[in-house]
Amino acid sequence: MELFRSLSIAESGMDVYQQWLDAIADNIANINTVTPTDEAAFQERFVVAQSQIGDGRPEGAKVIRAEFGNPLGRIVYDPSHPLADEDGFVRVPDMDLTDQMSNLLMAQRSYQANVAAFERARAAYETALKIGS
Amino acid sequence: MFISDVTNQALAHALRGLDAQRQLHEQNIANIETPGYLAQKADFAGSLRRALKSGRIDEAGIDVTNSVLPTRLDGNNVRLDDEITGLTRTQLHQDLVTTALNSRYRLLRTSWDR
Amino acid sequence: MINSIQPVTSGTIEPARLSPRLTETADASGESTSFSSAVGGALDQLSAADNRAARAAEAAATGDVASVGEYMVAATEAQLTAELTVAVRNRAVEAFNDIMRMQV
Repeated sequence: MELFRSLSIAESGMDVYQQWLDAIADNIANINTVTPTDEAAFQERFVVAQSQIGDGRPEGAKVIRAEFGNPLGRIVYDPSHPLADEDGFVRVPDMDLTDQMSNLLMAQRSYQANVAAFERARAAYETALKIGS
Repeated sequence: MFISDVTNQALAHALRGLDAQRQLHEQNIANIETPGYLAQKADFAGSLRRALKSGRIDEAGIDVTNSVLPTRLDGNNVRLDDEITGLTRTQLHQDLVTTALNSRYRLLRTSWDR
Repeated sequence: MINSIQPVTSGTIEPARLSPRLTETADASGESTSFSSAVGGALDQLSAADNRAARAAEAAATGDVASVGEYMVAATEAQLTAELTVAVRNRAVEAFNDIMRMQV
């Protein structure tokens, strides 16, 4: 709402980082997902955020699309795996768990920062409501 | 200045609309696990704006619509963050309208005081 | 400021009216202003402030006011203007009553 713009902006930030958290959780859940060599590997999921401006005034951020990582993944030798091809290879995702965990921390911190911004804006509006009393 | 002039009626309508908004947020939150449930929202500002412009304040209404956000696997599309921040926004707006109404009454009393 | 009242010596006693000439003040520019025009001026300002506050209140109802501060300032100004007008009016009534009592 126009009236409590700071709240809308913080809310949009929360939404962006919530979607990033969802993407990272999805990546982590699939960190060991194996596919046969004749199929694509699980692709790392990224979210693309964009700053929103309306009438020259800030309107926060928004996830405009998702992007996906390398479909080739990594080829790993695992002949005992049920999905292994005739040479004993399988595909695993081209993702690193440490990267995902550090992204998770960043997403969580950013989400919390937006919640803090929301709370501060709310307190500021409540103060403004006491003007003149 | 009449006790219930157009301005005060507009403020009273806003309070009714905000009350409806608050109740729908609470209902959405209560139904966050209900399969097939679509989040609902109440909107009174557009109707009130038009009523003020036309001068027919009685025509201000409250529109309830379903959310068009994508649903999850269970058919539910309630977003908890949105509902909670919505509750905060509704509360702040209600505080503003209540303050405005109190200011109007205080102004009346001041002009009557001897 | 009111000049001190001279003892009445003439035979006819006229009822005193709250005449604009009874109390005169000179403001900084040297022009004299009258009490009744001060009251009239305050009433005009009250009407304007009240209108601004009413429009701001309607904008607050629809959520169209530019900022919470903008509404609060408009409302506070209207309230203070109203209190000032009431104070001026009350003084005018007191002064009138004082003068009515003064006649012998």
